[in-house]
Amino acid sequence: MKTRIYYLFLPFLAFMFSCDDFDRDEQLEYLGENVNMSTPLTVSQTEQYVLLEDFTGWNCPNCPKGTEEINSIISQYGDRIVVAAVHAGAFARPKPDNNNLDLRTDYGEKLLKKYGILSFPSLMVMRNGETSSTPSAWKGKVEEFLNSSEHDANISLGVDVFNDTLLVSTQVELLNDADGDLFLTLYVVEDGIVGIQNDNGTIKNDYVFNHVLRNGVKEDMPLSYEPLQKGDKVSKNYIMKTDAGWIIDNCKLVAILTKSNGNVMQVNQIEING
Amino acid sequence: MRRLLLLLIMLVSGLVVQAQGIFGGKVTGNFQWDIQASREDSTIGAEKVDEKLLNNAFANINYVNGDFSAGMRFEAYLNPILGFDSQYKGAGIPYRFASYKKDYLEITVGNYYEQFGNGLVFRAYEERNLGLDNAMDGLRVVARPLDGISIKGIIGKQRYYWEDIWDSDNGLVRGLDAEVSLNDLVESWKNSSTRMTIGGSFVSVYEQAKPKYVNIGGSDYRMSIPENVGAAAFRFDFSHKSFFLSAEYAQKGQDPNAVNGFIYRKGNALLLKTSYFIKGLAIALEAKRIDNMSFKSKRDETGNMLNVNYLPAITRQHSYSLMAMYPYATQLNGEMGIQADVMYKFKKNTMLGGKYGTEVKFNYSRVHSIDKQPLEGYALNQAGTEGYTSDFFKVGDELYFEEVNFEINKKLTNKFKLNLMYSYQSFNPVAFGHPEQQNIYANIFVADGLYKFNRKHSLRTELQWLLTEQNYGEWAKGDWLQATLEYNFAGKWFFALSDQWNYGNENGDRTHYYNVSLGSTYNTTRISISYGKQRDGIICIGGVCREVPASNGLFMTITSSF
Repeated sequence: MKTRIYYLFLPFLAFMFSCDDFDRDEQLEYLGENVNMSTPLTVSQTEQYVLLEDFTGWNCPNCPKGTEEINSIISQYGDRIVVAAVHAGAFARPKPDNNNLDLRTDYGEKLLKKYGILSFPSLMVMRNGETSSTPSAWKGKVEEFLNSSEHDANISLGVDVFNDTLLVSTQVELLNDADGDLFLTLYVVEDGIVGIQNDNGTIKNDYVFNHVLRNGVKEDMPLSYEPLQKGDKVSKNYIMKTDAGWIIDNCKLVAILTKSNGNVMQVNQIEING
Repeated sequence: MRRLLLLLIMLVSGLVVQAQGIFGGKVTGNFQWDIQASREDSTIGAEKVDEKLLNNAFANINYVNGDFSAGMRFEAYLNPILGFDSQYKGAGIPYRFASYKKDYLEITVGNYYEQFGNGLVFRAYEERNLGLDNAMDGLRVVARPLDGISIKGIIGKQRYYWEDIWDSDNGLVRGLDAEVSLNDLVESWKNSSTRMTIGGSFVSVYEQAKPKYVNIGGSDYRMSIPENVGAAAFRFDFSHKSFFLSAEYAQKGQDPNAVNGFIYRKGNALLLKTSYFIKGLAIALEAKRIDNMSFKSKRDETGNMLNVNYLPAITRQHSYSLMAMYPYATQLNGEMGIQADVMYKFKKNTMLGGKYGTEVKFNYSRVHSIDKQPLEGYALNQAGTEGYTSDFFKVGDELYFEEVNFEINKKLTNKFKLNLMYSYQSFNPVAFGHPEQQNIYANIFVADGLYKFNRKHSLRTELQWLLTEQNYGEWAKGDWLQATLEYNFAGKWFFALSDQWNYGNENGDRTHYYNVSLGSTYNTTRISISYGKQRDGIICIGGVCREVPASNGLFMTITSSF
């Protein structure tokens, strides 16, 4: 009897004896850099811009209020505000009720999990780890960053479209010495997607979703393998794939410069004109 | 909370000292306090010690009552003595445990040390002289369901200085080991002169992946980092009368880490040991091959901490200081070597044995790199690739270490014993990460004589002579001489004088590293104090090493047990 009891543990062995081995083609993910091609930089900046990531979903009744608040912030501060509407979680899950329109992305789900976001809408400003589900408080949070004296880098951008490919050129200029490694994340947001939205219990059939985060994110690409100092300018070119479902003229490319702790140092965006 | 616990334990231990038994159980413990005062000495490179006084101390207090035991260890590094990592600074209780045996189970909660087989896939241990402590914190269960069968299960995290490991990103270590002694299992083999034990173990470390990037040929890539890294080993021990053979083979899954340069190549290790002895003669042979076997519970860690496994050295561990001047360090990324030991004892009343017999020992070891060939289109050990290919049986070009030792132990008279030793060592600084240094070829001679005047008085003299034409860094240039005189008197006191002289340092100061020490032993308490100079150097225990900086000053040690 006393030995038979050990059989109870056998099912666990299958889990224990597993280890994560990657085949050769799974070991490395090509980050799409091609140093031989570039496109002119057409957008630059001289001020600190602020990134707003709005966690939202079509079935989230309070989310349109959040969107209104964001629109109000944009109308006041213009280009300095860069927005990504991250459709993620249970409220964004497609159903026949919304004609199965799926605006979720792998990256959005990953952010949701990483920052432990449960309440919708939730706004995260500059990825400082804090989220707020009270739209009336958002403007104040955004202004904290807008009024901050921190301004450590500028990003210049250029983008060209070739068939289903984007050629993205970036240049990061350091205004202060970098404290640790820096990373660049590139993603596409799309305006003007029409779909169904639950607006405080009312189903709106022709709701327009703007700033929608799209798939194909180039995530946390190292800016340099050497420590960066004030005055350094780092130029990099990337290739990204577009999706047939996107209306490319409604899309913008967002470039986010992050520190190794994930906090955003600078952000900029450029319209993609097919 | 920690202070409260400490106070409580001190109160309990106070009671215990008065009455060694408590609740019918037994309390044991030991204590050590090292105090160092070193001053700046530019001639030997001893740096200024701001604190003037440095202290390392620990006390173990264990309680045993039948099948139940519990214990703790208090440690204080205020501040750590020279050569210990400054991250040890502080005091507290890093080790506490409770354990009980019931039926066929032994359960330990809290901290524990453990080893599977030879340790190729798992060994949690402490080596105080190296400042190394890989104690696990978690659970351990040992089951012995049948005679001859032992199953161990472990889970937990490893100690990392004073870091709150449960709030850290360090990996979680899980393991299982099973061992079967066939002689104990099979009734008819119980009294056989042939004995066989087989065992197998599996260990897995879970560590959350963090982004890791490589640049290959001008392009950036993100690496897929395995979050679960597994290692398995199989072993057997076989003996027949005076013949013994043991083997262990271990394999590790993909584990790109800071030690191996973030390559995906799987690791493996093989350890073979055989020995034979008859009256007066013992022969032992060992062979080892390691390929990419650094296994840590944190993939970015490079030091001695957080080692999940242990790869034993197959070179001789020396106690004479000049013989230990150029020690060997196990090369976790790849090495293959052999060691042979022969010991013969000439019988009493023979021509070579003389009146008291003569013991002769021979030891030889040689360790090479393993064969490593670059992958087509990549540099050798390119991060983000398999790193290299390796022919298992091909010996690498680089000789890491070679040593020949002869030793004669001879009791010449009723009162005088003599130990003579010769060693030839070839030491490759590449193995220590110093390819800019020269290879060292050294001939070392030792004569160690012990004269016993009576039961309570004895005099030991030791002469060591190291001859080499090479220099190693700033602290070891050319030839060395060492003389030691140690007088033990009244059965409990000792007084020693020693001088280590780098007389071969022709371009610099021919420094004398003198040392005077005095000590006493009373029952289980020993106190010693020494004054002198300590040269910059390396100490290795079991192939694991640390560098010891130079010092000039006082050193005091108090040890006690109850």
